[in-house]
Amino acid sequence: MTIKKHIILFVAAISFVVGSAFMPSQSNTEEYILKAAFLYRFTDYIDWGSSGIQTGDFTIAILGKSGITDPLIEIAKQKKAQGKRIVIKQYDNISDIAGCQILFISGSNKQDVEMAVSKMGDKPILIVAEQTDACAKGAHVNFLISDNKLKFEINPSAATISGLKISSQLLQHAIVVNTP
Amino acid sequence: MLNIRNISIRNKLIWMQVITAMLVLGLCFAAFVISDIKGYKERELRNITSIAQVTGTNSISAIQFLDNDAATKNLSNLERVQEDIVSASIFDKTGNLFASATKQGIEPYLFYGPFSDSYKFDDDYLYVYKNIYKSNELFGTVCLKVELSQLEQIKSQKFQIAAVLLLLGVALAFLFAVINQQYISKPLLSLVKVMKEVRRNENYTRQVPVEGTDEIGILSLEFNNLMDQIIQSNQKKDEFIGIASHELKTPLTSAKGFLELLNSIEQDQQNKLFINKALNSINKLQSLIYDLLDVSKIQAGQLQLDIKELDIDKLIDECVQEAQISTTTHIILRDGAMANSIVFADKNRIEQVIINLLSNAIKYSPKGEKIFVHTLRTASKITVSVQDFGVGLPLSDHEKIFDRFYRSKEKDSGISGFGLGLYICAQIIKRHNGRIWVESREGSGSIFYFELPVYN
Repeated sequence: MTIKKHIILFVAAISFVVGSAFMPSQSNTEEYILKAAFLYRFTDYIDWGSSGIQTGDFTIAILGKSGITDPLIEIAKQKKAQGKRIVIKQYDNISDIAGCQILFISGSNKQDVEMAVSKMGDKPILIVAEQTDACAKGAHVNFLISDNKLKFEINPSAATISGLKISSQLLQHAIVVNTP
Repeated sequence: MLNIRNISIRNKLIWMQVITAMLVLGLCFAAFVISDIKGYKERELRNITSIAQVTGTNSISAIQFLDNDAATKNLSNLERVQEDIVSASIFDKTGNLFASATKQGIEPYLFYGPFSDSYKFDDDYLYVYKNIYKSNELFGTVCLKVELSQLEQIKSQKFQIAAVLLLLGVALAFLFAVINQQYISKPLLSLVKVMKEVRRNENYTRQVPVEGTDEIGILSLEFNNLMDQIIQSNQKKDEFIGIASHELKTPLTSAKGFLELLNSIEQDQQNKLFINKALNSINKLQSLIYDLLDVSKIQAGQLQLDIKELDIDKLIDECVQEAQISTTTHIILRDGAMANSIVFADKNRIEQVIINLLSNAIKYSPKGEKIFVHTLRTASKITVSVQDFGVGLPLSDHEKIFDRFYRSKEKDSGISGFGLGLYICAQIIKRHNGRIWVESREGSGSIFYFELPVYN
């Protein structure tokens, strides 16, 4: 190998490291891809009951702008949930939301969690959030980053109120948070 | 080098059966041991594959939610289910290690690709790779390394059982062979025994019992047929000797009569000498023909005895005198005490025996010596012996010398005869319920004995 090649390799390596350091959105994107994948896989371990799933599509509503939207749309193109077509709908206002199985609340607005819980906490809609203490506030599932890994909390008692059944297999991978 | 032909059929049969049994049983047991080991491996493989399957299914959610800890816990729990599992790993679908657990105190094993459904037996370990699928989607691979802890135990156990059974089988085969061979070698040996007896006793009427129709049965049958043929040809020969000697006797008697007549009227000394030489020859010829006639009578069982009271001392003296006349080179001496006893016997025949023994003594001591005649009386019998100091007989001849046409081989020193004299003597003594035998050593002479019962 010639010295020239060495230099080229070295420069390439340096530029890669520096480049990745200056692109924060990239790790953010990866995080949302993973969140989207987790969200999709939750559908395997949650039972919405007969009233929760009606004929038609499997709808995932996203409240607020979020990086999860794009990866979810990608998944929806390829896969089905509970044997149904997946439909992704993005809402800016909580009152616009009608007829969905999963509600994902973007981390941008903290007030939305409490509103959503109070508005549809008794309906078979899985409320997923991505902010601290969301489960304590009544969300069913909450994403969090711990030890540099994506983890999630589950609030089984809230899920019971909503008429959702969460499989024990899912629970064993989650941090369980119970509200009275 | 071992010559197979020198091994007895008995041993050949035994070895044949034992070796066959050993080969067959050995092959059977080898198959048994191999299939057993194979069976154990297959069972272990099925078992471990299903464990890998279950572990994989249980780990799907862990893989889905990137929960390494849960997967590692799953793997660690495996040890409790199956303690032979020494190392277990889960790889994700891209081939990266996702979770791993190793039995305590054992160096972790690093599984390597390709990660497809497969298994491998390697010395004492089994490696199983099992892909994890859910709804046809590949999630990763469960890899298990299992110690075949029972393999050695099974091997040694099966080899022991096989060895014991093999020994037992071979022992049984040996036993059966020993029993079996009797049906083949025993009749053969009994046939050989009969053949030996026949040869020794010249009793051709002896037959072998024919049992069964196998080869040995045929052999026995053919042997019996052969014996019958020998008897027939012997009879023909005896008949021929009888007829021939009888036919020879008549003209010879006539020739002898005329020669004697001629001798009595011839005056010329020269002519008389010729006549006497012719007479001598005629006498020899006549005695040979008489011998042949005797033999033919004996063979036909027609030897008639004229049993009367007989003074044995007187008879011996007459015989000694008669023999002494025929020789000038030998001195025949009556030795020891007189027997002083009367026996019941055929005088002519006993005389024939004594003359025969004396003439043999003269014939076989060509250098000219003393010849002793000795009698010994006991309560029930009288023994007469004739001793010479001639050429003697080798030990091997002591019994055969009394056989028909038997002549001692070494004595081809111009001594003539048919070899019938002693045979006739033996037959005569036998008919008198007596016994005849010889004591002799080569080079130092012979003593011929005969023994007659004395009736008080």
